[in-house]
Amino acid sequence: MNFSINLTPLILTLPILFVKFWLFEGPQLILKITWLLARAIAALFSLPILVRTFFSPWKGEYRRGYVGIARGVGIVVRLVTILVALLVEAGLISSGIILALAWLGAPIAWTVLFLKTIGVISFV
Amino acid sequence: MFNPENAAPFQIAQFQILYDSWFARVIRATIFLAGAAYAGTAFGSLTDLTMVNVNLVTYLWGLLALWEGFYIFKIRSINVGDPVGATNNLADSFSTRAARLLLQSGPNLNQLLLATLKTGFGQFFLAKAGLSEKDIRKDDGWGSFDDFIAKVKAVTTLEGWPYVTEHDLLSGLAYVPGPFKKSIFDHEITEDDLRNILFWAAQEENAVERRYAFWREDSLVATKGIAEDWAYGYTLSLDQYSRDITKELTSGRIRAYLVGRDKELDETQKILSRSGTKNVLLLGEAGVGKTTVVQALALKSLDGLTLPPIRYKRFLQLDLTSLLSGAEAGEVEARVKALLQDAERAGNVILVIPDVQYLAGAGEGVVQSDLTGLFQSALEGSRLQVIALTDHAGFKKFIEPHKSFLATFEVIEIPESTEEESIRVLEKVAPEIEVRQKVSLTYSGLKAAVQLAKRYLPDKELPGKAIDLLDEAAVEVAAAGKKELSAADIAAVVTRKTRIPVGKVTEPEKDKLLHLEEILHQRIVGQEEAISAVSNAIRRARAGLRDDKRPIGVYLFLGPTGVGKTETSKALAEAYYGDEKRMVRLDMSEYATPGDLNKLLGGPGEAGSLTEAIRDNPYSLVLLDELEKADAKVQDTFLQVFDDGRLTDGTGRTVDFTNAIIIATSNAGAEGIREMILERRDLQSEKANLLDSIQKSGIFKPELLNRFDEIVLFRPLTIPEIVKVVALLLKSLDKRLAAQEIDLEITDAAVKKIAETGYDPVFGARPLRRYIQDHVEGVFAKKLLDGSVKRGDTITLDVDDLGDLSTQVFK
Repeated sequence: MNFSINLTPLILTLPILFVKFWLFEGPQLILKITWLLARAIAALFSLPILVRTFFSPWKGEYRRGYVGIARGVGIVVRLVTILVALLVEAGLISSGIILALAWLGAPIAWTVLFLKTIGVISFV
Repeated sequence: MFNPENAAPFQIAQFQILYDSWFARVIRATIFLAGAAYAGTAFGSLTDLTMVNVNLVTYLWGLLALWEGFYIFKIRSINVGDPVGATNNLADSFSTRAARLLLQSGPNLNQLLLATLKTGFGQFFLAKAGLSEKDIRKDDGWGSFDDFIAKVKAVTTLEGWPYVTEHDLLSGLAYVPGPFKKSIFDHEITEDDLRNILFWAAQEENAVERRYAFWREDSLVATKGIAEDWAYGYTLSLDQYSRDITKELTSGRIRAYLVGRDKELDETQKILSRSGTKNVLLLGEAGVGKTTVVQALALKSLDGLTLPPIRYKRFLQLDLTSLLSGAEAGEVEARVKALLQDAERAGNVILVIPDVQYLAGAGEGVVQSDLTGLFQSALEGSRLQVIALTDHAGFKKFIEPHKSFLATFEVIEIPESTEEESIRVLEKVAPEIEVRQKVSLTYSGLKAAVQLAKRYLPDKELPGKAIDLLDEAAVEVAAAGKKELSAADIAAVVTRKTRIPVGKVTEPEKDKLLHLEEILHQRIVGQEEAISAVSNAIRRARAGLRDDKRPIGVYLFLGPTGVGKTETSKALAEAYYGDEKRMVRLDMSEYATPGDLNKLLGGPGEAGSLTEAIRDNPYSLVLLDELEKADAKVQDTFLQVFDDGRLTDGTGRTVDFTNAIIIATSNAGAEGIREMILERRDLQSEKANLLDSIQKSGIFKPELLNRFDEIVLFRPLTIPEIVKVVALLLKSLDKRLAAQEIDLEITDAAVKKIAETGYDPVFGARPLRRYIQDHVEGVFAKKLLDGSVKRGDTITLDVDDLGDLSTQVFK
């Protein structure tokens, strides 16, 4: 003897699940991973700390006479690091957005190409 | 209720089974590959979309590809159940994998068992339980399916899972009456053991998952940034006197395992993160996991998984040895000031102080002066953060009196782990030991490590002592070239450390235990009651029936001098601890005043004669000679020992007596016993009267007498018994002569002569030894020295015509 499972409700909901997955969950996942990577890059470059300690002396220097120099060194190094980090972030976020749009557009583009082939629409 | 028909997890699972069947796979692959080959011809040019030819077949193939992506990324990994308890139908709360397993076997529990044991975790269970599939009975006699489902629900609830997992199905099979329950029972595995092994399996599965899941949020975001240290200062002085825990964790030199300490860890990080008092004092006995809490917090901080204020901090552990080494007067203070300044200035240091009581003057000679004052102002400020560690004795004696120092800390108490928690800690530690020693650990080994450590290693607490024991046993197993560590290997290490037999009783030992009275009688003549009492105590202890929270046995031996009280104690020490020297003998007449209690328990700068001896060797027989001569206060001290098996010494440390046998002897009532014997009254039936008179005379308080497991009366020896004692003593002499290759022959008349002459009604058999020394050994010694007796000779000991002892030498 085995269990009898009624599959009809699942089969009826599968198309809805598919559309939900493709139009919402898929792009959402791509954007989420992009966001996580962006946060990871920010953490890797210590962006929040760089901003917060922008004017702090390099390596917490407290000896009189050295503080000014240490502060200058800190500002220069941090500024360069922030600029590089922002550049990487910009590249990453734009790649994520393009990928999400491509994901969304793939079935539409495929349908458009099909309609073009059978002559329903024309590119001209 | 359990109705899978319309339950979403079972619908998904059924769909997966159909879609993933071999038949469906072949059809899917054929369509997909054929479609791909056809579609390939449609792409004349990808740069010019007007050239792309997507006809109906290619279009449908494209949609199929999208569908496959949907199936693989969505349907295959979906869990659609409601948490347990959300609906009345337990089927709604199954994980998809558990539902699949149940659907594949149907409601036949035998088939479900077979299917479950074939999975990865099923195989893991068999391996760790030391079983093979052959050991599992596959006959009928299962409980009902409804009963099984009820057990599954109970296990899921017990484990606190939101959904019914595959592991819960196997646990359910063990809880429901049936062949599986019987099989594991036959192999001494309980249902709880099975759940623990499945927890182990889950740990391993999670570890594998974590290894590959680099995309997980905590893995991605928890990266230490390049600029983390740019704003933090150097710690040159501090580095000299500390260990960098963070660095050691990064390099893998130490690993942190934390199970069941989530609450304490959470509390610690909350205190460290807040404003105001943000220093923590972790209070707990050695081995409870204080250091592990610190290491786990350091690891979380390193991974950025703590609260933001303590992320990416450096955890530096103060090294008192290097702080104090080579320091001259005043130099320690200077060093402390420098390192505190470093810690404050750095801005990212959390200072860990192990054994903080040493800063407050504990351990004379370690730290000359009280350093708490130096720390206090730093601790009151907001720039230094400290996690201090101490045990209860150190806390009570040295930290509590420093009220203002203590006020700078929040105290978090860490209790000892339970046995179950400790087993789960070992399951977390196990993979590393397995890799390092190349030895496979079995569950029985882990369980034995926890149980035997708890029972026989009283100095430390769980889980620390179980980890140490497991590690030590793994090293020995690896050295012996074995591949698997079992309970017997753990027992062997404990036996070696304690020199008392633990683990399963072997056949020769069983034989010895069952004939213990005869073995003891080889040394002790008569005294049946005493021999029987102590033999029973040993058998109870070895069979695991004794109360673990009390000493193994507490006896009062009453009787005249020289009847075998001490000899019985020695024989018992030899029988149980393997050596009669494992006896702590205290002459209680030396503790006759209240002030003598200090001698017994010790105090500052003085070791207690009892406490120190038991601390050094907890596996000893304690012989309290002539207990009646001890002061009443001293006697009262033993009430706690007899009852709880523990005693607090003069320095506040607890000494464990649960592995000791305690025997008190007394001559009290000796006269009464003698009278009863003379009047030919039965000793046993008169025992109550005798004890009553002892109690009334105020020699022992009733509460003390009540705490003895047994009060044994030693009767004066009869002449035939004295003859036997003489024979035993001469046997010992015979052995010593045999070592010099000289034979000794003793006539019955000689034995009788020694018994009659050497025995003293007041001192019992005790003068016999002296008599033999003077009149037999002394004579033999002269003969050996003057050369009249040589190797290979035979000496005959007899009685001459005058009735005196005589010796003859035969070459």
